[in-house]
Amino acid sequence: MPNMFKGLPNTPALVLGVAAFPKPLMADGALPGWYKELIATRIASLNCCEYCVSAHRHLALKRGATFGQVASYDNLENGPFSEKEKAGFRYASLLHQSGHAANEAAFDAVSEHLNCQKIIELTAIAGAFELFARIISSLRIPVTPLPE
Amino acid sequence: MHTPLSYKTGIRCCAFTLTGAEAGDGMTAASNASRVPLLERHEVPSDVAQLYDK
Repeated sequence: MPNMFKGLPNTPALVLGVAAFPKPLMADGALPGWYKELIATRIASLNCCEYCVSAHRHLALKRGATFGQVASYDNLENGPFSEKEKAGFRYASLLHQSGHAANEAAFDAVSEHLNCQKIIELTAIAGAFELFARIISSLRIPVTPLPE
Repeated sequence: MHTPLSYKTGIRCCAFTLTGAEAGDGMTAASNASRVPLLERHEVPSDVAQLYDK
């Protein structure tokens, strides 16, 4: 049980809503699960959320990312990613600044590589991990130990 | 102050390897104490307890 889901039950109605969100958010969809996990890891890193980085780089590896890809979440341009994957990382990183940072030029750039469904999934993950990281960091939820 | 962002150079906004007084106040790694109780299964309502079984 992730520690976030041991902390949020102090507000039962809230935890039930939050717990329902990660499954559709992170499941394989238009974007593959391993890539979604690395997007989450990248946003977590930009938010200095050790908890989220620990959990989601572990999940990225478990869901099919290579060691090299997982190791490159903060060095994306030089990492073993396709141009399409890099375009998604760039767009997600811009969203960390603000929604307005994803201006027309940025949206056009990502649209060259990703279709509407993929952009929506990417945007939802980037936005969600701003929220999760802030909840976890501000409440000082300790990192969940990884399985052996 | 907003954290500078560069996806081209891959600059990280912090280093998780640092802990303690040198780490600064902004990193989650600097503190292990949760500000809210971490509840176990027997401490939560039954509908929430189901989450612990997944």
